[in-house]
Amino acid sequence: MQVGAVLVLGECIGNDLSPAAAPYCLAQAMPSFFGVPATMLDLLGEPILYRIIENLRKSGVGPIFLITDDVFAHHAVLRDISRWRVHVRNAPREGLRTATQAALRTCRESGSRGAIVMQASKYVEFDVAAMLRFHGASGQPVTFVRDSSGPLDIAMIGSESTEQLVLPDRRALQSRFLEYMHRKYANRLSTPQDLRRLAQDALLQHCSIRPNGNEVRPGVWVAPSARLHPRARVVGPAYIGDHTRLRSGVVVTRCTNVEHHCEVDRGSIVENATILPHTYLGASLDIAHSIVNRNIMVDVRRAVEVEIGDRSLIGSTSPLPRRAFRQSPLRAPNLIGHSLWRMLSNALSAFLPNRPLPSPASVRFSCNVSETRPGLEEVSRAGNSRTVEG
Amino acid sequence: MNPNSSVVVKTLADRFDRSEVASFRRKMQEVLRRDQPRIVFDLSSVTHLDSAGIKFLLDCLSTIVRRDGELKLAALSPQAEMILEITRVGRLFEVFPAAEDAVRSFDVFLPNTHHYPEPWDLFRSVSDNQRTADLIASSAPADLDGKPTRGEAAA
Repeated sequence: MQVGAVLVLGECIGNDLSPAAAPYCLAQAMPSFFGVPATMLDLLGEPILYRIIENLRKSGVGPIFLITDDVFAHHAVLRDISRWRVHVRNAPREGLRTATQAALRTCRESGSRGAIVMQASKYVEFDVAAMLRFHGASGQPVTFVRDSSGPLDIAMIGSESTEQLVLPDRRALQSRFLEYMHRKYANRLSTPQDLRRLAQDALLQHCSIRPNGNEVRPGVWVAPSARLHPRARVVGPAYIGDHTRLRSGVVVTRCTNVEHHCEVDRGSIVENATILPHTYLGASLDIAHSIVNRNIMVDVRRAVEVEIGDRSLIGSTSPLPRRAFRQSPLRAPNLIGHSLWRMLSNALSAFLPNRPLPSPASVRFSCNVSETRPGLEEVSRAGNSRTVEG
Repeated sequence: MNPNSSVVVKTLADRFDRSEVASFRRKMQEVLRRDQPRIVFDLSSVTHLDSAGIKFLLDCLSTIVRRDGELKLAALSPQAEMILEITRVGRLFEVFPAAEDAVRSFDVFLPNTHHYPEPWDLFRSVSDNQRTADLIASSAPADLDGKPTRGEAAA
């Protein structure tokens, strides 16, 4: 039987249903990290959402539809998703259910007799064949999936004889039904600890996620364009992403993943941490048991989020894109109105450069370095600022 | 790293202090001079590890890494594990439960051999052990004056 899938990147697609049925109607609140769902964050070189889609493709599921809330429509992850042959549909929050229903209709028209509907906020490795067997044997119109910790917000609908695929309604949810017990890997990604655990499980190969990079040593994966100083030490298991730079004396250890376009400055130690893309870590820091995204650090053991203002400690390797600046929840000063503030911020963002303008000092600095010793050795020379700037 | 170079496994003495380090350093000289050395230190019998011992481990690591080699630790005793965690030196090394695993890990990734203890877990386990020992001691048969009972005295 051909099975399609509809992934919903939004919340409350079943909010017209009774509150008692909420856990079963794909209506759970979707946790977000740093303003986006956890599945849109990068993990070992690729967004988690791509990993979910890859798992579905490997299981023979198709076609795959992705219904997203309008808020995420312009996110980079969704812009690059076309290579996975996913049909993306945007809808306002209150129209997600209708868009899901329309996607199911298209799914049926393309020949699928069954469909998996899930909220794309969790990382789940499906055993589609077992799910289909259970669903077929139960004879019910909809089968919900759960694991030992509770419902997983996944539903399997349709059958061989079905004429149309429809989302479960209130009547279907009020009747008794059998639930499929999921026994493979699942991570709800509801807390920062979950995100960190997924990175650890991927590096320790407890799930099917594999790092995007070359295994340069057993347990150490480095992306081809990463730059590691000869005196930087990576203790496995660990992952270093694309265009990431580890300077002299850096130690990356104990299931740490440093994603793409990051920079770890001289002498810092990163232990059991996730460094999200475009993050700069300053010199001589000890980052442990944390998730760092630009200038925000989350300690997963204490469940504390700290925003650091000093850019020499932690910060961003690139400025925020203009769109992010426009959408940032900047509070309007009391003296001027909100609309005026928005107009000013838009005007300002229009003139912001995409890359930071180099200061005269940095220009002189880089020229001198490239003349003296090109390549990786420039990193060790960079410490001698008196020689360079003098 | 040269995959054909052999792995040297060295077992550290139970009291790995200043005097022991001096003699051990002399024994290691020849191994440390090799190109791309691959060394495993077996710490299963270490019951005492002082600052000189830790400094020796760090010196060895520095020398070996400079020669494009690798140093791994194996079979840490509870005492050695606690000291390495408290001093936060343990995170600089790859640590394996057995020397055989450490030797194999030079050629293949062994995901199930990695375990990272938290320092407070180590303390907790020690305090739990202590509490158990106290419980056993307190439950030993004794009369109200603390004198051993007849059976214990006979034993």
